[in-house]
Amino acid sequence: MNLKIEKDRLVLVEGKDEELLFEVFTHHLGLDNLQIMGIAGKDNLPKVLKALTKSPGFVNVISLGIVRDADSDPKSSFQSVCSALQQAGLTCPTAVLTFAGHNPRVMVMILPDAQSSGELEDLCLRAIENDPAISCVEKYFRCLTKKNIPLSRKLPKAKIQAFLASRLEPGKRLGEAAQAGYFPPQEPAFSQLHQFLRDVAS
Amino acid sequence: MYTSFEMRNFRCFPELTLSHLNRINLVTGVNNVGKTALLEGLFLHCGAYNPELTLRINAFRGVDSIKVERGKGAETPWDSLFTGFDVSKEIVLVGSELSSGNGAVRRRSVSLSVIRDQDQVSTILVPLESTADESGKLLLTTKSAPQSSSSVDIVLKLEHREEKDRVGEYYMIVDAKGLHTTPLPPPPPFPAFFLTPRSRIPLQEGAERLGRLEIAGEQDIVVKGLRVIEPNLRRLTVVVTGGTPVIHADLGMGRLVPLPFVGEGMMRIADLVLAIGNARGGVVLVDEIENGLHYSALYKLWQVLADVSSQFNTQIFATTHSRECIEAAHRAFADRRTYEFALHRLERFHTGVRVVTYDQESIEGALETGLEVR
Repeated sequence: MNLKIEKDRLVLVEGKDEELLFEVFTHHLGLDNLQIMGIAGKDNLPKVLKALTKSPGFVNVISLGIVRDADSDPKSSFQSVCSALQQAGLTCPTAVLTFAGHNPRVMVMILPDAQSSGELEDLCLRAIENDPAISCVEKYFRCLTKKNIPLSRKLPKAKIQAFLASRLEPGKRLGEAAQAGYFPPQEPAFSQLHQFLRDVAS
Repeated sequence: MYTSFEMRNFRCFPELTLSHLNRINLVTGVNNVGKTALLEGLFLHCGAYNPELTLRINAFRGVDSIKVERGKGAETPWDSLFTGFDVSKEIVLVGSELSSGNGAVRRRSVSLSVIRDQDQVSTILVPLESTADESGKLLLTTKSAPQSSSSVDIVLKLEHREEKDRVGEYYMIVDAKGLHTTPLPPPPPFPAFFLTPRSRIPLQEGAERLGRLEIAGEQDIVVKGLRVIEPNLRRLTVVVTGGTPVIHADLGMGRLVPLPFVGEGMMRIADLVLAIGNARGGVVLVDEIENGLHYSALYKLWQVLADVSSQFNTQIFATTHSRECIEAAHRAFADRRTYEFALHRLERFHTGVRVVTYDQESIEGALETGLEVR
C-alpha cells in the first residue's frame, strides 16, 4: 500500500469499509475534489496525523475532515480526535461539524450522527430501515434472543451482516456492499454525512 | 557532528535549512529537487578552506573538464554553483557542529563569491601572505601595495568564518596560467568523503583505506559489513597485482578473489564501510546509497552502518529514492538502543525547496499506514 495525497481536500476515515462507502457518497454528490483515505483503524489516528502533516503534498491541503465512530461515548471520541490533532500540530474545532484553523481547516464528524453513541453500522441500518428484509432480520435476532443464544455486543454489525446475507450476492463486507448499491446513498439517513462531505469539499 | 546546516544561493536552493540532524541522515525527495546538491553543499562546508572542492563536486557529476574563459562577462567555472547561475550573489553555507569532546556547539560558515571587478581583484590579490594562528589555522593578510592584476580575470573568494572572530580567506584564480589556488588551504577540520553512484573508489585508494584500518587493528569491521551479502567471506587482504594494490577476498575457495570480481554489491559495501572507518569524527556523504544492493540486504546493511558510524563517530548523509531503503533503515535503528536516524524529505515549496524532517514516530506512522514519504 502506498498512500499519496492527491487532492487538496482530504477526509480520513477509520478503515477500508468507510473508505469504500464514502467513495460512493463522493461519487453520488459529485465531489471530485475530495480524497477519502482509510487509516487502518482509529488507534492509528495520532501517528497517521503526525505522518500526514509531513507527507508530500500536505502543504497544499485546504480542508481536512476526520470521521470516526462514537462507540460508547461520542464526547470522548471527539476528545480523542482533538488530542490527535493537537499532537500533530493541527487545530481542533470547538465542536463536531464546525471548522477550525486554516491551511488546512479541520472538521470532525463522529458517527453515527455526531451526538449518539454507536458506529457506522448504526447509520447504515437507519438507511435501510425501510427495506423489506429488515423485518426478517429483526425477527431473526428476536428468535436468537428467545433461544438464549449469546449475541455480539456489536449488534448493529451483526444485523448488517444478516441483512447482507439477504442480497443476491451475499458475503460482501460493508464497503463492498456499499459499492454494490446495497446502501442507497440518497437515503435521508446519510444527509448529515453528505453535508459534512460537502463542507469539507467546499 | 552537524546539528543543523543552512545554505543560501547554492545550486537550486535560494535558501534551505536542515535541522534535527542525527548521526545517520537519509535524504529523500523527487528527482531534481536538490538531494545531490545538498550533499555537495555539505561537502564544501566540510572542506572548509578549500575552494578547489567547487570544481571537484562538478566532477562528481561527470563534469570534469573545465572551460576557462577570460574577459569581461565570460562564463566562470563556478556559475552552476550559484542559484540561477547568478554569480552576483554570495553563496553562504553555515553549519552548527556539536563537539564530541565538551558537547559545545560551534558555528562555522563558508561563503563563496565571484569577483570580476578589476579594482577589487587588484586590492585583494597577490601578494598574499599567510600566517598560522595558535590552532594551526591560516590567517590571511594582504599587503597594502596592490600588484598589478592585469593578467587576472576572475577570482573565486572563499571566506571561512568560525563563530565571529576567526576568518580565513582563500582564492581560486583564473588568469593566463589557468586555474590556481592561493594561499595553500590547510587540511579540513575533519575528514569527509563523498561517494557518488557513478564513480567507484580507485582500487589503490580502497587498499590504502583498508590498510589504515588494519594498522589500527580495526579491519574486522569491513569483513563484518561484507558478510551481509557474502556470508562465506573469511578475511580480506591486500595483494599487489600488476603494481597496484587490490583488496582480495578469501571466500574459502582455496584461492583469493579480487574484491571487484566478487560483485558490485561487495564493492559498494566495502566503499561505504572503508569511507566511514577512515572518516573518524568526520562525515561521509553517499548519493543513492541503495545503488547496487538487493533490497533484502538493506536491513543488515543499515545495522552494519549503524555499528561502524557509532564506532568511528562518523556522521552519514545519504540520499535515496527507495521506500525499501527507508523502511530498512527505520527498522534497523528502531531495533537498537538509541534511534540515531532521521529522514529528511526535500519538497518544492513556492519558488524554493523546503525540508520536512521525520522523527521515529512519524516515520513509523507513515510506514505502517502506507503513507508516501519519498
